[in-house]
Amino acid sequence: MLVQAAIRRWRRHALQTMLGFCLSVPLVASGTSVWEAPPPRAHDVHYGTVLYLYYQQNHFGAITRLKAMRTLGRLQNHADEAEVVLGGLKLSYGLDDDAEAVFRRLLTRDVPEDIRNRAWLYLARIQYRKGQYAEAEATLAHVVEGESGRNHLGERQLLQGLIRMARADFAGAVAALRAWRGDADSRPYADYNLAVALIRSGDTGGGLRLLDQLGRGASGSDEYLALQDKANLAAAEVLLRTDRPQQARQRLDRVRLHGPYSNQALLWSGMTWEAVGDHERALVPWSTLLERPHTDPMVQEALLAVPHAYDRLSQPTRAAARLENAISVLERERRDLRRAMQAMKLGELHITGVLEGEADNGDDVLPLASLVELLAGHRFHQTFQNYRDIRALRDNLDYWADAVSSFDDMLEAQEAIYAQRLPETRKQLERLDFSTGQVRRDALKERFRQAELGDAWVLATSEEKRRWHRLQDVDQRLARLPAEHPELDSLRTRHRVLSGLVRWSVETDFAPRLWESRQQLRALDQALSDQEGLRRSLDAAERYAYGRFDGFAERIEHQRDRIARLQPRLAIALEKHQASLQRQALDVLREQDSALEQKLLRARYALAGIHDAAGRAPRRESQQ
Amino acid sequence: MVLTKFATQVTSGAANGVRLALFLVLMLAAVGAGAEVPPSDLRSLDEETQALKREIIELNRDLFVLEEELLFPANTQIAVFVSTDVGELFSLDSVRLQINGTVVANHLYTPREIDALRRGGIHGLYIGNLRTGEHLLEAVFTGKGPAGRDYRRGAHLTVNKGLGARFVELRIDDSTRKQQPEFVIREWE
Repeated sequence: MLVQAAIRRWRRHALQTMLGFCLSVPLVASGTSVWEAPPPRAHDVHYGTVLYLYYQQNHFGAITRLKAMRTLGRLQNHADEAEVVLGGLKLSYGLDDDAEAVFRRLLTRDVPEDIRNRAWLYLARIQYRKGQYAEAEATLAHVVEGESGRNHLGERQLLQGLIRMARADFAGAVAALRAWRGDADSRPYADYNLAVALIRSGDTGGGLRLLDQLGRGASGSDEYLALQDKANLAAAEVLLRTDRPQQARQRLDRVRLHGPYSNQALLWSGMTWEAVGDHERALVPWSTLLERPHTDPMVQEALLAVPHAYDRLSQPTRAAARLENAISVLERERRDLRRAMQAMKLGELHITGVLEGEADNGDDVLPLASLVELLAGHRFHQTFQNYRDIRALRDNLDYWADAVSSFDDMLEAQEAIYAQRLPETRKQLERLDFSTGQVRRDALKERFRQAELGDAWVLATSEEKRRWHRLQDVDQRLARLPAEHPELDSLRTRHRVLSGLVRWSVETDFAPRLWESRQQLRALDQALSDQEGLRRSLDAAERYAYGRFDGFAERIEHQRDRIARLQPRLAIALEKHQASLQRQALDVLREQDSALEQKLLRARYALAGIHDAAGRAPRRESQQ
Repeated sequence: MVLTKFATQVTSGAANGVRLALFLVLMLAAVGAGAEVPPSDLRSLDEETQALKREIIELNRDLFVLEEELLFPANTQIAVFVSTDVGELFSLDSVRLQINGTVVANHLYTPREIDALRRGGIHGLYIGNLRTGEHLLEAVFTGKGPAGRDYRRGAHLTVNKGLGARFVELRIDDSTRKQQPEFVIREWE
């Protein structure tokens, strides 16, 4: 009776721990689709170029471009929209505080409701990430469920469910996640979390039914298939916990043999056979597991599980041989682990180099499988992401340092071209006779003034003037003729007629000539003004160009200083991150070392137990 | 403590169930192991990183503007962009751009870039300088057309370059009426 009670107690304890493995972590899609309704399509090309980088997850590039476009005044059509995109980008780029400030700025009434809704949602996400669950839930309450809120229903629901689960309000999470209102692609993630919430709130049957639905099907993206595996694994946990190993096995059988959860599933599958006392069948999944790299903790557990099964099958010799093999493998693993730790301590091996494929890990010096937990951890992930960001920033500054040098060359070349062209242009301009033009214009103006006073002869043609002078000459000659000259009267009559004709011509054409003269004067004024404008614009262009060159030179120099000041700071930050990652990795390896030591102890004790039993059996036989 | 119990049970030859249960506990304890780094260390490291990121973003913005103003002054600047709509009738592979008969840009799109285009992103294909006056822009699009067949189409536009920057968009639209893709070049004011 006591033994049975102990079994139940330990099994309960064990399975509670298992529940912590799968069901305590809510699930969110790795992409942005679940979290974010996409920004509206671009109405202008410049905003579109920001979205182009945004959709490629190039957060740094998108932030820089957005800010540059705004500085150049090219985002007027998308001012608020750009602001909310900027906040989202900053959040994705790890600038949480800046992102929060951006979203808070968008919470005013003059911002369109849809954008305000998105700002509230982002803000709630930041608060959730910071562990400010009560504040996050209060923030979510501000999201308006009107027409504009329709795009965000799923996101809001999912976030509410996660917040409530984080607050251990599983019934509340169920209420939030039931009746999914988001898009179909995101539904499996919501359903997984709903299943977890159902189980944690006591509705195990409901949760298992949902996990069963999620765990069926054989097609979809890698992400979706991994979700299916996880759903089956989670269901198996619950079923093992509630003493239903056969059903648990059915769920485990659905887990893909080469997916990310396959080692876990194989290990647990053996356990389901073990739980019903079928040790022989337990050996099948465990033996499969043993063909995989021994650096994986699951495989190491199988090393111990297999002899355990042989022991239960009353094959102590095989069990002992398997235990000896396990001890040998575990000792080798531990030796390798310690060698890797030593290399890391001495700075000969860097976790960052190994993770980025830069360091030589040819002999599998670093057991990467044992770092899986570490890599999945938020802290390590954040530090590693920052490390990669800093490396990218270092490359970015190296690029600009080169580019700025070429700016110098470019500016020098532009200055040289300008210096060459300017004197030639100036010479051509100076060849134009400004003074003659002005004298001619003044003379014309004077003639025009006289004409306006009514002096038609001012506008007479030279031919008319010549004729008039000839007629005046003829008049003088007629005056000198004797009065008795026989043709005098006739000549005077002809002279009068001809004079009248010339005067008539001059006076009748006066009005059109005056108009024409006015036009000419205006044209001349315009030409003179253009000429003057050209000279002034050349002067201004010259002044501007040299000012522009000086301005550019100053700006280039300023940016060069900024780059030079930032480069060493980046180098230091990079070293600090490397050191931190190295420390975190070493901590995990130390724990791994300790775990291996414990496994070795277990193996040795088990082996001693078998030897002891074997030693006693003959004695008992001999005593009988 | 768990180990002691396990050892005791093993050496005393206890029941299978106990062994299994103990075995599970130890197994899961090993699986659940995680690293702890003092959060304050990470916090200060994170703050330092945020400050650096902030400064470098501002620097990049200034350098971007400087570069554009220096290399592509507004009075000679021309920029050409590529956009698509849902892209059901045409799957873009590459675009080649010629100005006055000279190839100035040739871009082969990655699946990630195509996805960004389909979701509403616009690709800045080319930025350069042009004198005032008329210029011929020609674009050649290659990809897969309806029914997955190889597809190659061209489009052209004469741009009258005056003072001020010119922005030209090469747009690929699905014409549901014709069941064919349409290739349009247009200028942005």
